[in-house]
Amino acid sequence: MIPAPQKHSYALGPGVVAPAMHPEYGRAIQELNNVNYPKAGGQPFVVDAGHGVGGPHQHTQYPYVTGTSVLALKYKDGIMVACDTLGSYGSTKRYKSMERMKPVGKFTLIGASGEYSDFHYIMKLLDELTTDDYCHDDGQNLTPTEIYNYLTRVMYNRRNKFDPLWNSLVVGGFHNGESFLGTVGMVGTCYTDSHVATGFGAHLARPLFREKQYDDMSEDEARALLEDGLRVCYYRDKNSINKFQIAKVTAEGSTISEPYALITEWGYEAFVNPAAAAVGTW
Amino acid sequence: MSSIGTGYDLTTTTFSPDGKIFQVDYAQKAIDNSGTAIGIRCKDGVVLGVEKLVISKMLVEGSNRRIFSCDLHAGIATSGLAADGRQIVNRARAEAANFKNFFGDAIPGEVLCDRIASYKHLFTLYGTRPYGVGTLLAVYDEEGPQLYQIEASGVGMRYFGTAVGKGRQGAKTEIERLKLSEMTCREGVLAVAKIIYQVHDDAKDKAFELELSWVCDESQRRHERVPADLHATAETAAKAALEDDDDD
Amino acid sequence: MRARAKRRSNTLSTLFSSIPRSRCTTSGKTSVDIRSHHRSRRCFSGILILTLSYNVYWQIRPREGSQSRCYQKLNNLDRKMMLSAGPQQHGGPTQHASWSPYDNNGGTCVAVAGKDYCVIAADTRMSTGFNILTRDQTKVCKLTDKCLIASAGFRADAITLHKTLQTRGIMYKHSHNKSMSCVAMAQMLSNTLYMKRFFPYYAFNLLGGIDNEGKGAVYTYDAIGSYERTGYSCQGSGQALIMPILDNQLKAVSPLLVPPQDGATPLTQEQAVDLVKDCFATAGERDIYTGDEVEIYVINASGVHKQTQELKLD
Repeated sequence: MIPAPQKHSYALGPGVVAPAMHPEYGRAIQELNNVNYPKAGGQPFVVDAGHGVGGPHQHTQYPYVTGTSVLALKYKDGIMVACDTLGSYGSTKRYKSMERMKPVGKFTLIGASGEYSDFHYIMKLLDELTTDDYCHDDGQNLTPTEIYNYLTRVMYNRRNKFDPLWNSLVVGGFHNGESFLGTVGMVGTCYTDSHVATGFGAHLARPLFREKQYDDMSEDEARALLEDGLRVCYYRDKNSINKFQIAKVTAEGSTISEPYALITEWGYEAFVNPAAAAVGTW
Repeated sequence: MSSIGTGYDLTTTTFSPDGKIFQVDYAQKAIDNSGTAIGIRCKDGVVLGVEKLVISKMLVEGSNRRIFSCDLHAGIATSGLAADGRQIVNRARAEAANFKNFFGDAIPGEVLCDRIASYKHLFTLYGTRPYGVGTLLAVYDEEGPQLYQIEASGVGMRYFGTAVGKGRQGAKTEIERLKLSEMTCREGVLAVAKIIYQVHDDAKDKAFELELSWVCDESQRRHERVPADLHATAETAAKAALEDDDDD
Repeated sequence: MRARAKRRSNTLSTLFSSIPRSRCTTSGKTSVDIRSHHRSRRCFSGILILTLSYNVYWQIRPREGSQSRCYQKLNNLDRKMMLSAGPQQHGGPTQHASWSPYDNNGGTCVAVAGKDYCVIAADTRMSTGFNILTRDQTKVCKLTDKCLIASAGFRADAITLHKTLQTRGIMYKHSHNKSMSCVAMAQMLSNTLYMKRFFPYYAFNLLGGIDNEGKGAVYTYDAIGSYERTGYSCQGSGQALIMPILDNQLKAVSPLLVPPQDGATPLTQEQAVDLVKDCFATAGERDIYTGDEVEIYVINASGVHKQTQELKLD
């Protein structure tokens, strides 16, 4: 079933009109740009950028069932990856038990946010490659780095066709005693780091990771930090649920935990009237 | 027209007056002349074994394999022209991948057998020459473990146990003696190794390498080479059994 | 609606004005000192940034009336897509999640050529909007033993470009049994960029190396392949900050002089490296897309030598 088009921004949800959808908003933003906005930077609050601002916009497709942030970090024994199990349908919490992390071969694990069917397609590509490796049975298997580079090319080539795979992927792996952690975006933007996060996680969880993550941290520390990251994402990201999976990739291979819930606290005073402390917000 | 085909064997598009396609018969000859390959279906899986004749002592060990995986759950043992065999395996892999891509699940043994058979059959109808390769197909799918044999003519059949190649007659006789329905694959491996050693003709062919693979519960329903230790045990036992027979 | 828009923009101005301007004013200290005093890992964290940089959208779409062929093509594609598939609403524009094939990951590259050396440097910060993606992403790629490329802009394009050049360099070596000269590589880079004239690589490149006479060479490009050999150049987000310094310190030789003058700078190698370090310290001070660390490569007769210099993390 294809949802009927609506006036509101899909990304911001019903009831909230993205600024760029309305010419007035667009103009306001442009004025802002002229004043003190960095030329190369993003535009505040613009999600459906281009609407009403610069003539006809480009589009090729649209994400339907989407997953939110994936968080991952390096620790002593390898890589730990985490995300919730929600598949959103616009702003509807549609599927609540979707696994968004999948192992690829022996040493790698992929976590995906964004369009779930595109993720399926990507997994299909990778499964074909790993099956091929299995059949050849020559001791050569895809390493995490190779999978990462392959995905980079796949994502980039699809954006070149103006038919992008609507995902941000996290690639975690452990091979030959070395851990690997990288991420690939919808248009092929990619990087490796000691900790990564897609979507809201980049804003909410990574600051925590920047404070506390170090490559030699113990499994318990890593898990605690990751859960902190999940918790803040759950507090602030409305397209998330309190049902998480944590996966790890170590020398022993990859394991994905059963879904479980985190203990959350909603009694904070700041939650009661969040706008009170921020002048001008609503 | 020097051969017995008397002109009816120049192409696969011509029947002989007796209703034969000689090219197919000749392809079968090529298979019958190669090292034995046998397969047995035990109660928990399928075991494949190949007597790989070593053409030179200088050959790197493990080269020119004759048992291949064509998907996680399916394996093929070939006998006949080695290069033809690889081509068939490529085709089988493509069929398996295509099926999985389209239907999202592993290809069932029956379907894979059919597809390989149809492919081989094409070459008995048109153009060039038939594939000179006999194929044993071992699959473990939802229906359980299955063994198929696909001949050069494009006929594919399901077996409890079968053999192709030089020693097929002797091997088949031995397989018939086995109680396959009560046998585990672990026991099957020993039996297969023993039979291959038994049918190997020392006088004509000198060295050979024993290739063993299985797809069974113990291998998580994956087709893979039998573990090195089991392989070694089976080979030692087979040699010992052979010497016992000689002593008798 | 209008009132709401107003309110929102007020909110934004409030937010903007409340950005902590914690950047330091430095006296003429070396860049090492700058970092040790003002290194802060927290500057990019927090909700503030979240509200500001929800999405990055960098447009190179020409405005109405100046549509290039490329975008006409894209728009045709759009129309087709709208007709063939996707949800539509009568009497109004189709609402889709829109996306841009480009991102700007920022970064600055500087190169200085001397008589017998070339310095080429780039910072290692990779950002998108107000977000730092990583602090350790090299922008420099070794193409041959005597030729390096540094690219700012859209990282995915830059990576692709580097890979293409590297591959072609290797193919050249295999067919000619010698490495590509710096001059040849420069031309090839131009051709490679121009091949994508109507869907350009959003990469701002500097090519540095030693030419066949052993002289330092710097080639500077625009995104679609116009290029020039110069004595020094700067590309990327810090260009506007660094270029004047280079001009001031080095002074380009006039291209009008007859006979033509060598463009190489008169600096010694050490002086050039120091200048580059100063440049990056300066850019890191004011440009949010430049920072973390600068990788400096010196190419001379003895090979390629790398050194790094820390920059501010804020």
